[in-house]
Amino acid sequence: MTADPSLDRVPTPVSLFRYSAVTWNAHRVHYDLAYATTVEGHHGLLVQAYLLSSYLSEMLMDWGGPSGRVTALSYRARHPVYAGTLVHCWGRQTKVRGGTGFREVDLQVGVTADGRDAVTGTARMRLPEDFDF
Amino acid sequence: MDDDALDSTRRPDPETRVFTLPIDAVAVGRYAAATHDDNPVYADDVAARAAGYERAIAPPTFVSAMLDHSGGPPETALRRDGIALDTFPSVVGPQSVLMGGGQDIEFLGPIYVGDVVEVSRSLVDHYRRPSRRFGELDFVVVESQVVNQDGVHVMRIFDTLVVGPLVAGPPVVGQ
Repeated sequence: MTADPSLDRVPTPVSLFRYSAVTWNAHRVHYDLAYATTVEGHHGLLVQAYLLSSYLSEMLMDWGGPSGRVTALSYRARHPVYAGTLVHCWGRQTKVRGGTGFREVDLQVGVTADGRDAVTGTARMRLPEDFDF
Repeated sequence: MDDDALDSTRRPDPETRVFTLPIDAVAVGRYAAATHDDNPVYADDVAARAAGYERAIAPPTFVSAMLDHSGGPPETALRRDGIALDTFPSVVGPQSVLMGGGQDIEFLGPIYVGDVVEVSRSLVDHYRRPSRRFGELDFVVVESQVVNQDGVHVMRIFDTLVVGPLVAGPPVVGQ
C-alpha cells in the first residue's frame, strides 16, 4: 500500500534566486533582504508561493508514479515562509472514483512551515487502475 | 486602505494580453534544478515515453509559475518592488504591495519541451475583503488560458493576487 504523499524541502536563498530567475520574477522580496525586511516588513527572504506550488506538484508527480497525472491543483497562501525554513508538503486522499482503466483521486494538500499552515489546497490526480492505494 | 493600492472604480479590463512562450529545454532544466526536482521525464525523452508521454515534458507548474511572459522592460521602468508596471492589470496601483494569494490550475494536457504555447491573460475579477491580520485587502483575479501550437487547450489558470496598501519607503524606480 502506498503511503500518502509527502515531501520535505528547505528552500535556500539560492533556491529562491534561481526560481525567480527562471520564472522572470524580479520581485525584490525574494532576493533583496534589506528591501524585504525594511520596506515590506518581512522577517527574511520570502519564499515564492509559486515555488511552494511547485513542491506540491513534485510531491504529487512522485506519488502518482510514471503513469500518474496531476489534473488539477488549487491552493491558497495562508502564511509567509522565509528562506532557510524546513517546509513539509503533504497530501491526504479524500475521494477515489473509478473509471475505465484509471482512477480519479481527490486530495487535500498543504504546506506546513514553522508549525503553521503556509499553504492549503486541493488536488486531483488520474492514476492507473492498478495503483496500489 | 490607500486609494493607490487598487482603483476600485475600474471595471475588469476588457482586453486580453496574449504572449507566446517557447517551452525551452534549458529553461525547463533550470526550473527543475531550482526546485530540486530530479524526475527524468523533464529531461529524458526515453523516460518520458516510458511514462506514456510523446517526449520530455515541462513540469506541471512550469507555465503557471511564470510571473511575466514578456521580454521585460528596462530596469528603470520597474516598480519599486522590482516588478514590471504592466505585469498586472491596470487596477493595481504602482506603489501597492503585492503578494501571491494562490492559484486554481487545471492541467488539461501535457506541455512538451519544444512546444510553443500561447498564453492569454485577462483580468476577470477584483474585490475587497477584510483580513484577520492586515485589515482590508484587495484581491485581483487573472485568468490565463494556455493553448499549444496545435490549438490544443492545455492549461487554465486563475491567479489570485493580494494587493496591499501603499507603504512608506523609497520612491518607485524610474520615477
